[in-house]
Amino acid sequence: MKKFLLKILLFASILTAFAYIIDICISKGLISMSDYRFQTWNEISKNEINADLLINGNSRGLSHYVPSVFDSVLNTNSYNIGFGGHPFNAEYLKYHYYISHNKIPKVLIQNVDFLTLSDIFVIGHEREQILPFVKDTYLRKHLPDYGFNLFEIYIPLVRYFGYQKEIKNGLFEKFGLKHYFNTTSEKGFLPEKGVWDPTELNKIEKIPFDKDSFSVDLFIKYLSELKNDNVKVFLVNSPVYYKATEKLEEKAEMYEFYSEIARRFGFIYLDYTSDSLCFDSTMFVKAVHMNKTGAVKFSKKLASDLRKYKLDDLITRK
Amino acid sequence: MLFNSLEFAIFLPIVFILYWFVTNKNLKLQNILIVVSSYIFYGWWDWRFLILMALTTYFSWLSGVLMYNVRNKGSFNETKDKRRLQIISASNIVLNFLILGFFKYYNFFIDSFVDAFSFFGYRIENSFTLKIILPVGISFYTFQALSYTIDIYRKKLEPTKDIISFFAFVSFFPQLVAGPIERATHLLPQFYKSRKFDNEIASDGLRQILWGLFKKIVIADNCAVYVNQVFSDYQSFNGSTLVLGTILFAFQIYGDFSGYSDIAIGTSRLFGIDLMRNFNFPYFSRDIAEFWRRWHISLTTWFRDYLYIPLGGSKGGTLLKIRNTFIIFLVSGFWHGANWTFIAWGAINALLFLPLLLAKKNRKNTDTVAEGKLFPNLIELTQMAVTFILVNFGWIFFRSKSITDSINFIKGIFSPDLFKLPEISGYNGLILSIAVLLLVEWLQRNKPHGLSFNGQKYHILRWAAYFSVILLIFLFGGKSETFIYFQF
Repeated sequence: MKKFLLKILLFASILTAFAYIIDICISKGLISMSDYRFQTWNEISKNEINADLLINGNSRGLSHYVPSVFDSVLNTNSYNIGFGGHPFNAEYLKYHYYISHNKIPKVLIQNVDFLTLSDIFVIGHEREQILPFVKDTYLRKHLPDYGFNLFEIYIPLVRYFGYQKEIKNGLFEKFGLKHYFNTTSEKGFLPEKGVWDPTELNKIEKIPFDKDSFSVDLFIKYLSELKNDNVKVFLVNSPVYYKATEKLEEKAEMYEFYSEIARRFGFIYLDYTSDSLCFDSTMFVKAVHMNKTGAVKFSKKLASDLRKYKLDDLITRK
Repeated sequence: MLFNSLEFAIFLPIVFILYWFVTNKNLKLQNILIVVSSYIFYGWWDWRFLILMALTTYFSWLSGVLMYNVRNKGSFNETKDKRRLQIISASNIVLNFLILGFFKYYNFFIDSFVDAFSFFGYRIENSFTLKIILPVGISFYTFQALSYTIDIYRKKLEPTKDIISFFAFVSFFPQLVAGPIERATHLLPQFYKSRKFDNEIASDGLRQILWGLFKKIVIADNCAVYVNQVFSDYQSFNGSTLVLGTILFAFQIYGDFSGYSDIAIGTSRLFGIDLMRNFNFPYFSRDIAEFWRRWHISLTTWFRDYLYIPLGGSKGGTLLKIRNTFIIFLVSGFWHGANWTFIAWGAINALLFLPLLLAKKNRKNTDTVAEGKLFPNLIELTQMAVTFILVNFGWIFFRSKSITDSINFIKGIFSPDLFKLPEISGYNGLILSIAVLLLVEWLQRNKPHGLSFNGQKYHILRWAAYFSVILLIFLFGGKSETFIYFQF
């Protein structure tokens, strides 16, 4: 038995050392790739963004707000930390990851819509974006609440299990071998590619306004934290194609909910779901996602609207 | 709890340590540990069904005790007491089949009954089907418990009064949910004796676990991605894609089920318990009869011993042989699930097996293919390829959702674009993994499993091989899928 256990111990030690080295190679490779999935998390971790104007939200947050437009119109330094494919809890995680490495922003644009407060679920869509960063102090502590188990966080290589593409890309990148990247983001902004396609819209019968109680509580907690940190917050309902808005159930309730919550905290709620942009299909790729042209036009409009709120004293000029 | 889960990775070392370091001096305590850990293992999936398993176990044990009492009460009355024994064993068999039948086949019978009436023009409102959850492994542990009752009735086994050993025999966690289906004559006596730790056996057990994990995680889980895609949307693909999907399913089900069996056998060897072999490199078979001697051996031999031979086996006239062959294959198909596709799969295999039986060539290939040689000759190679194709034909029915889907799938294969390139991509790495599997298993085809290395030579090379397999699992492992045979 003693011999058997010693052999196991020796085997496990060598294996752990190997796994640790490979894990580091994959992680470093992925971090250095020009791939939007890892790019924002990496830029945040470098403690160098320190944006005065921060944009947060779901996939609409990610693809409708162009930081370079805000920079030029408001003469500021902005950054987009949108997190696509998830309800609000993922945005909350990314915001806190952001402020654990960067100073608290002076102004925050929070995209809100019919999906923001839907049921909480674990990080699933593009989950791989977090994998190289799980050792981060903040993430290590909070990822178990987002469907990551302790083995993934503490045992080398376990978290990459099943992510064959990422393993290959990470190793190829690390060792300088030729491989193909995905797209890069521009200060966190990721434009939707393609031209207007009504297929998704035609499939949708009704769009419900999901309001999960846990999400609502978390959202209120988030707004309280922002209030305590003296962040000027704009809750913005960005444009969606007008036919999608027509299919939205409990429209009035959604507007009322966000208006009321903004009032409660002394924040501003801006609704663009009836804006003229919503009636032009050339601004969209699908029912609820704008293309780059639409995103630029909307960002210009929003930036010029924000000027009315006298942000000069809040936003440091570059 | 899945073998390929992290929960099991914690569970196994804990049970191992308790088994060899805490309870090792007391056999009863060691068996209690096996029962408790097995119930935890099973309850991890759904604790409610623990009661069902406990009931099946208790009644099977009780039937043994009652039969013992009848046989040992003093004077044995040949007529009366034999009748009593028949009633006791039959009651237990009926009870077990009622439980199995209700959970596994109730809705199937109701639906088929309603369909049959509709066929003859009578409309029946089908309000009898129930939302029944199929308890994992019910077919496996029920058959294991049945083997005990039948063997006692046949006087092949002495009944046990040791209820803890009996509970350990039925619930032994490595083989509880997907076999091998053990015989009471083989496994139960192992719980009566104290076990001694054997370094060689335990080390080989770990190697077998590792090979099982490779087959499950690298082969089966990666094949599953393509197989699910092809079989769920077969109408959209050309013939060559359907052929590829079928071949990948052949490797998926082999990797999945034989992988599970390897992990089960390897795990039990860590506890000093020997389980029967369940797979013997079936895709190197030269005919269907050989395939069935090498595939799911524990079930095939169960049906042979408890159904085929009592029915007369291959003795008697041609009609009897045909009848018995069909019965055993149809029942075997039906055992897999309540769906006509499994019955069709059984019938196809019966049709493929019968010519060999009638020509008395069913035991022609009982040795290992190309024994003592590195490569097979052309005839052996052709025989293996033809057998593989025939087996794959059966797998189409096994994997399809309905008979109609199976037939349409086959029609799709013979479409004009059969010789065009497959319409799915990205499977090159998987093909390479399958090639590694076939190469290793071909070289090891005389051994119990792919990583069975005897002797002390080439330490470094062997360790390098183990590390390579582990790295392959980590780097090329597919997204975790449950085991296919859990549903049976």
